[in-house]
Amino acid sequence: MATVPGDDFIITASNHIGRKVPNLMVRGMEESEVFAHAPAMVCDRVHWDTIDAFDPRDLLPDLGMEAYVRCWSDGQHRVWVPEGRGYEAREVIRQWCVDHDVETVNMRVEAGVPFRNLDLIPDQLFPELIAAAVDWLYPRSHGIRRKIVTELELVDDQDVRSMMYLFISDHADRYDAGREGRNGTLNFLAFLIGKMRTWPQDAARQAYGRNVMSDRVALARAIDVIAATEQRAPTEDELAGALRTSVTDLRRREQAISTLSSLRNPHSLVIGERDLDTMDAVQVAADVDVEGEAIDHDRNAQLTRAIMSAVNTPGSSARRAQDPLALAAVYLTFWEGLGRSDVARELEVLPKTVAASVGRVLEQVQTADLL
Amino acid sequence: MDATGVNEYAGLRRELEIGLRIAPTRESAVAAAKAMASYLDDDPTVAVRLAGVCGDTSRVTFTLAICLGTIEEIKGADATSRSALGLIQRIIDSLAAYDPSFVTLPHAASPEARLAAHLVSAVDGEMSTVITRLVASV
Repeated sequence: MATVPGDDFIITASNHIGRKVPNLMVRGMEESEVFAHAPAMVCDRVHWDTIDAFDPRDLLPDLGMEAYVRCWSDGQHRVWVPEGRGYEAREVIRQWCVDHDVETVNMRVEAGVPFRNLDLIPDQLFPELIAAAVDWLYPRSHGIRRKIVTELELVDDQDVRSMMYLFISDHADRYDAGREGRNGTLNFLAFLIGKMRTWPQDAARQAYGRNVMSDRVALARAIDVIAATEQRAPTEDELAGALRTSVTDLRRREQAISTLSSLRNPHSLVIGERDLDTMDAVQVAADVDVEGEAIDHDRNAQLTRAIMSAVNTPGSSARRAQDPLALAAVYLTFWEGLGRSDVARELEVLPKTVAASVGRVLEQVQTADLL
Repeated sequence: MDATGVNEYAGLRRELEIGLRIAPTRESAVAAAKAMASYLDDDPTVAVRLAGVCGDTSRVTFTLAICLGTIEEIKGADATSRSALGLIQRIIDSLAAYDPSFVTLPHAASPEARLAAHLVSAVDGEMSTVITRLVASV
């Protein structure tokens, strides 16, 4: 196990030091106790869509085998059956649909998938577990949330939290708690973090079609390679070569990407300088005072270091060796420009507490001779 | 969901983000971006985002928004807030060559913030590659 002794640090997949994500707790119960109600199984999954509204529970009595149904947020139909019986179940379902005049679309089998029958978890514990997972993940997934909002038309910031809830609900039945990784047993949050990495891309593929999004990823990758190795934007010939297509087809695909993703300049940085937004252009005025700026940056950096040394001395035995409240009070006072009572209101403390915190920090900064 | 969960679902979870800016010269912007990018998603316990990118001056500035935690976590000096302090300290120590300093976070509608959002969301490549292109285009 790749842990750093003495703490809950781990070595991440990218060989950085990270922290273990916590096990979730619901009503005082560990997540493992909640999931124990719905043990992990391996099943075959029959998956299809229908033209009209349809409830797959209707066909279970006629299926002739143990089967489970669970609704995912995409509205498609899924039935889980014992491993090895997926193709048999598909034929029964297909015949049932013909007999009952249900028009099916793209019926397929995925064999050997992990599954938990989450309906067995009692007392609303499962929704609470998802809510706890969202609470933990939401503030820590800013990059993913931004991608979702940018990639998908009509999705706003305030939609992402409920989308995340549905995403987790959809993926929970696939959680295989027994899996061992380099950092020990996979817990629910670590499982979800892994799934969320491709969430924006998968959502965009679902919204716009697999081909367009795959082209976009392939284009970005090709441009990255040339930019990194030759420090220049690729030519159309090179891009077409990377996608193994003609320049005409490349232009058609770029147009499709631009239209469907609804981003006016989908790759203003990726595709070089074509149709570059003015906001992306970076210009330097000729009369910039380089020396003056350097002095300002240096002074601000010194001040920052002094403030940090006042609020963060983890090795010391002082009572406030790490004092985030003091940093918050100083930041709100001097960078947000709030008065003492406003800072107190923001931080939900007494004004005298704010004054004491700011005073302590300023005292140390003054000893560093920066004020 | 507990009683506080209602507020959280209404988007009222109160957290404080601290703005931390590094200001490398144009020549060192790519190296700085590579170093900085490793902090963006590395520590899962601390939320960090790229809040601003600007090249209007002699330096290229990158502004990180580092979440110090919820108000309750800050007041109680909880582990999350202490982790955030530790991360700020590591950035200040590791990127000292690029003059890291506290700054006010740019408004979301400012060109600086919009460019950062564009960089983060519109490109599937590595941040350092994007910065290479950005600097090359100036």
